[in-house]
Parts: sequence; structure tokens; C-alpha cells
Amino acid sequence: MKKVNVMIAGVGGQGSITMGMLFKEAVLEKSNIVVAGSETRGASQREGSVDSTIRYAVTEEGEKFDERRSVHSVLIPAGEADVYIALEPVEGMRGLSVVSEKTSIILNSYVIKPMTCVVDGSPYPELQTMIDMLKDTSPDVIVMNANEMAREVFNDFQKMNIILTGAALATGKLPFSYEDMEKTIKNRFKYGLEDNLKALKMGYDAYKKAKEAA
Amino acid sequence: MEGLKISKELLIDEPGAKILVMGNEAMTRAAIEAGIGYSSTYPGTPASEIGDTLSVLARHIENFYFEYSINEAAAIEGAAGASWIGIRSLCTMKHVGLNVASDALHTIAQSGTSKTGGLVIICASDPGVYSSQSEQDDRWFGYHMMIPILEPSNVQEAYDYLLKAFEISESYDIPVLLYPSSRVCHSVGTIQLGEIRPAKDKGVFKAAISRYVNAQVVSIQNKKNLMKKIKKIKNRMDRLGINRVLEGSSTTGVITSGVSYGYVLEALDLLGIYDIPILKLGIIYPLSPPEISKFVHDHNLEKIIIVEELLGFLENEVKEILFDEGIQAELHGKDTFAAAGDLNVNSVQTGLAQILGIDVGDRFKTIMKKAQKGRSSIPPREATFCPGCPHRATFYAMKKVTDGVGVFGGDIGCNTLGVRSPFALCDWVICMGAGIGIAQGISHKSDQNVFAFIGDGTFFHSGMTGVLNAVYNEAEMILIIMENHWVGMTGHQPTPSTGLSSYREPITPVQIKDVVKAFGAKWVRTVDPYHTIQLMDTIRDGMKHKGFRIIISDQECSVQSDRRWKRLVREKEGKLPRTYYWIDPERCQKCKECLQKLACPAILLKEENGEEIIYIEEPRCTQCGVCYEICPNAGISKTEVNIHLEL
Repeated sequence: MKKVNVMIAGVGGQGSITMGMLFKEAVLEKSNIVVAGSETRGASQREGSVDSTIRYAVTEEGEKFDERRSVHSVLIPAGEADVYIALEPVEGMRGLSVVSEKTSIILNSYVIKPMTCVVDGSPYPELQTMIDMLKDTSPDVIVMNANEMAREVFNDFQKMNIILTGAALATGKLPFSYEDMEKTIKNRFKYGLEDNLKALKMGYDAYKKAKEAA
Repeated sequence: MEGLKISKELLIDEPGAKILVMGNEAMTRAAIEAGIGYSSTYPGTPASEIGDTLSVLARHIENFYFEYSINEAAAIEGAAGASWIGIRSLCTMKHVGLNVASDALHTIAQSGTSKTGGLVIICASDPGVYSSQSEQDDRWFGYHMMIPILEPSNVQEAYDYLLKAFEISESYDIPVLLYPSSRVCHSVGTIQLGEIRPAKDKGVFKAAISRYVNAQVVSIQNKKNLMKKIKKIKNRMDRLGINRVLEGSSTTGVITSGVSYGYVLEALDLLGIYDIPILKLGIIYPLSPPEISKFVHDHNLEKIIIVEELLGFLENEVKEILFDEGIQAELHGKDTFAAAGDLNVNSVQTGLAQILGIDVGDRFKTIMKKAQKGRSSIPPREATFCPGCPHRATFYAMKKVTDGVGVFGGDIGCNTLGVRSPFALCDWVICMGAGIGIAQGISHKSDQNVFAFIGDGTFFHSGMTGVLNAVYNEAEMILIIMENHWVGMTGHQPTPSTGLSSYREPITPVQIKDVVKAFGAKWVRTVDPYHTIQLMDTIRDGMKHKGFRIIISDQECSVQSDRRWKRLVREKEGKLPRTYYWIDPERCQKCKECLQKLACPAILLKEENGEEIIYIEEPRCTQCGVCYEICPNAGISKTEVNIHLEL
């Protein structure tokens, strides 16, 4: 059995809950995949730190399901994330315990300063320092400003989530296809289908391009 | 409404179909299949979505009654009434809600439920206190009230156990508590649908003094009956088919339940150990002595490890059984696993490794070290009011007028966030309604200026009693009722001041002003906090008066008004007039009043050519206009754009 783990770390209100649901719904029709996961709800949804985890247990063909080797915990054990999406740099640093040398990291460089920085003047770390620390845990780090991409093309920050979903697909580590995600998006959103599919493609292409450059 | 789409899936009558749901939805579906005819709740994270889903679906389910109750006491009493007349009833709440319901439930348990209309209570726990005031361990209520508790470990079990809970309730004529943790409520997984049993339309109450009138002889007899029921359950545990053993050949065994079961399996997988037998408990109260001793004897256990979150509840029960049965074994539990805060795979892995004498390895240590370094290099991010939140305006006004001098009683809900910088206007958080309750106590024996805050949901839940007490006993204080017309923090449920019924249909809202006037409050003012200057004047005026004073700060939750606005924009394809607020760099004096004193998350600071620029992040702004109102230098401009006309 193979476990695939995805974590999305962000700030309440950024859309990590909806994004996490997309990742879970994408495998709903696959009978060989058990999916588990969780989203932070409640107080933290008000601009606090939030995360969304998605865990897949993939049973290969001819293999028997083994309870002792499947996924159970909705949280990801230390270093076990395969894909780690940080919707905000500081939040990317907060969830590092799931990251290790095997993790593909996608960092959205759009900064949302915590109130403590704005009001009390606590320093917000330098972006490059944070990227270096991420690279120290895993060499596979791609940085993009999905909020700016979303603003430029759609004037809608919410598209940031779809752009980064596209980027995550481009890592090639998810147990579902690009088409599966397209279908999931079609099922979930009543409005703006064309824009969402466009955003997905934008993220996918941007990741591929950044990867080539790196 | 995306939520509605998912909710409707829960009504599909296709046994065998698989759907992806969160734990709360799984229990909701199971309740529908169980044919519940009555359901009541007071919303609270992590259980909120059960009631919310039923609220949306209520009108589509035949013979079904749903209510958002005013508090958990009202909720449990109503559900018991329905159960007594043979209607399957479900009552849902968060862990601390059980405190409010417990007065009634203690005695309801003694009277019993009914053989045809089971009563199941879902009480969601919150280990790690992600959304609560305290990490209460409600399992001890099992002992205290003598009612069975079932604890699911995942989404599928949440669904299965709810159906089981009704069976047990009806077989033994007893209320049953289903106790999912927040990790189960909010986790997502697939369930396979079963058949929907139709709900019963009506029942008839049959009086039975010896059963329902708990006084003197009846009380003693009812208590004896309840003790007999618990004893029967203990002895028939194997027939219930809920607890199970995962076999293994080791002489070290694990006893666990709930999410901890999953943590144990994954921790053992990471440690490469597959031979430890595990007794996985689904019923955590009562425990069955024959079952525990059988597990120990069958596996010749020399060492028993009990893995559970919160206090050592199972440990306590198991120790008692081992003592009674004369079993000697090495036992580990709370000597290793933390009793405060939640567990996870890492902490269970570390604990198990320690007990088993295994080194967790360098890789694990390096990962944790780097993670620790990462966390220590960043500032904390605490929850704060959303952009446009009327509470922010209210706390800003309070801070301006009082400069933080005085006593400020805080309460449960979004207004608790008033404790955060830059306001720091929340001196305590205890429980629903304790803001005003404690404040009035202080007001009788202190010369300080005493204030208390309360939201409208909490006001109806348990604040009304405190207000009446303050009026009657002439407390010397100002109460700020923050009427945002929704139960905000737990997910925007309607409250009597919303103007929506439990079925989300329009009704006449209850006017808080009328309620407090009826109680006899004399000095009552209502102000829109978006008119922040006026609110400040009102607070100043209030402070000149004596006696018990009330200011109702009345403005809808900005998340709700903004959602409605965005929906309208989508429907009208953007062709709507709109107000824009923007900071004019020419006029801005960089006093940072809006940025640091109002501290709206939509107002940001950037540097351009070495110069600081304060600006409004337009996509985040909800156009509340408070920054425009309070800017001391008229540095914020307002532009009304009618896109429709421009086209």
C-alpha cells in the first residue's frame, strides 16, 4: 500500500477548506483509494493559522487492503508530506514538521502580515530567509505569487487556490489526473467554470515553467 | 450555496451508493437513515455542521422536526419529550454544551427514554481546544450520569455508531451519548449509504408517575433501574459487536479508542511493528470486565499500554477492572501520553517507542528540529476580526473612550477576539454568559468602571438571566450587546434576532431592545458601530450615568452581508453600483490610526522608493467605511461607482 500525503497551510479566509475538499473529491470515484483528511474550522477561520490535510492510501492492483498499513490519522506524521502547499510564507514555516527531503514544496509568496506585525511592529521575516529554510528541509521548492497572478487575470484573489491546485498537479505526485481535477471543479462550482479551468491551467503551466528554470 | 449541494446528497435514497462527507455529515446521514423525527441543537464547533445540515434539509424530510434551540438545556429537554412519546430523537452540541444540558440529562437518564423512540446525544469534544474555552473531558459524565458513551475513530464509524446508538438506546431504554472528537467531526471520508427508515409522524404521551416524576421514592427506584441497565450492558458487551480486537502475537497489548486508535496504528507502522494486539473500544463507558480480562488472558499480556486523549479515563476504568479481577501487569498510560492537549501520530510514536525501548531514529529528530527552528523564526498569527467586522468598530470605540481603563468582561463568541492587540478589552473568558455575570459581581464591590460584552447568540443562550439579575440587583455597569444578528463564530446559524426560523424561513426577529426593556432596564441605547464617532459619544454619555446601562451595538456580521453582496454581484454579472474606499497618498499623514489602532486586515503597509505607503487592499475590503469615518486627517476617500451606468 502506498500513502500519499498533501498539506495546505494558510491563513483563515484564504480558502484552504474549499481547496482541501477539491483534493478529496478528486478521488471519490477511485475504489482503490482511501481518502482521509481534515480542515481547521472554528475560531482560526477568522484570519488565524489554518491548514487542510489530505491523505490517500492507494492499494495497488492485486494487493489486499491492510488496516495496519492504511491511513487513519487526519494529520500527517513528521516528514511524511509528499506535496506541501503554503498559501502564505510565514504559514509555510509553521507547518514544517510534515516536510522532509521527499516533499515537493509550493510556496505562494503573497504576504499576509499577522496582526502582531502590523500593530506591535514584530518583524515579518525576510522572504529569502524563509525560502532558504524551506530549501534546507527539501531541495524541491517552487515559489510563485498566485495572488498576483489571480489579481492580474481575474481581479479575484479566490482564484489563487485553483492556480495552486494546478501547480500541485504539475508535481506529478498526486494519485489523480488533471482531468479528474477538471471534473471535480465542474461538479463543485456553480459559477465561473471557464475562469476556474483557466486558473488551473495557469498554475500547472507556471509550475512546469518554474521547474524548468530551476 | 455550495453547502446545500452537499447537504442534498445526504438525502439520496440509493442504498449502497458511496459519498464523500465530513464526519458531521456522516452522522447526519445516519440520523436520517435512523428515521429521526425530532432533532434539536445549540450550535458549537466542532458539532455545528450536524445541526446546520439538518436545518437546510429539514423541510425535505417527511415527518421531521428540527430546531435551533436557545441553549443546550432547552435542546435536551425537547428531545427527551419527543423520545418519551416514541419519536426517535437526536440532540447535538459541543462538549461544554453538555454542562448546560447536564442538569436535565442526569434525571432524564434515570427516567429513561422509550423502547420505540431512542434518544441519542452527540457531544463533540475538542482536545487541543481549537475552538473552545476549556478542554473538558466529557467522558466522566458517563460515570456521573450513568449513560453509555460511544466514541468513533473515523468517519465510517461516526456513521455506524450513530445507528448503533439508537439500537442501544431503545434496547435498554436509556439515552446514549455519541462522543466524536473534533478530528472526527471535521475529517473527511467516504461512507456507504444504507436504507432510510421513515420517521414517525406523531406519538402520544402516557403519564407514568413512577417513571417521570422524579421525587423521593421514585428517584431511588429510577436510580436503581438505571444501575441495572448499565450492569446489563456490561455483561452483554460482546453481543453489541462494537468493540473489537486487532490480533497480534506480542505480550505487550494496547487498549485504545477514538482517533487515538488510528494514531497507534500509524505510529506502529512507522516503527515497523505489526504484532501488538490492540483492543479497540467503541463503547468507552461502561467497560466490560469480562472483555478486558479476556483480552489480557488471551494474549498473555505482561504489558498493557492505554492510549487516549485528555485525562486517564480508560486507564482509570481498566485499572479498576484489573484490580477486581486480580490481574497483575505493567501498565502505561498517562505516565507517557499527555493529559493536556491533543495527541497525534508523532507524540504517540514517541511515547510507544519510549515504552517499548526503541530509538525513534535520527531522521525523525532532524525533522522535528528543523520544524522547531522554522516555528521559532516566525511571528505568531492569532485569529482577529474579519475585515468589516462590526465588533472591531465597537472595540475601537471602547478603546478610544476608555483608553483601556476599567474592567472588561468578555464572553464566548467572536467578541472574545477583543482580547487581541490592539484592543486588549477582554479581561476574562469563562463560559457563555459569564461576561456579564462576573462583571456585575465586581460592580457591587468595586469603584472601577465596569463593562461587559456579549453577542446576541450568547445573550439569548444564557445572557438574559444575567441581564435580569443585573437589572433586579441594580448592578453599576455598562453592558455592550453586540448584535450582529448571527451566531458568528460557529458558522453563522440564525438566532432569534436574525429574522430566520430554524428552517431558514423569514420570521419576525426578536428585538433585544424590547427584551431588556421588558426586564426593566432603563438606560438603553442602540447605535450602529459603523457610525463609530456616534458610538463613542454614546459610550461617553453612558459613563456619565449611574446604574445598569445597556448599549446595543447593532450591525450585521460583515461575512454574511459580504456573502450576500457577492452573490448579488454574480447574479447581476457585476452590474451593480459600488462604493470604493481608498487612501489618498497625498493626504495621508501616516499617523497609522487605521492600520494600527483600528487594525483592519484589509489595510496594509508597503514600501515604495523607501517611503511607507498605507493602502486598502481592495479585494479584501467589505466597504464598511469605518476607516473613512475615523481617519483624523480626512486621508481616506470614498468613491461611488455605478458600473451599470458606465456601461
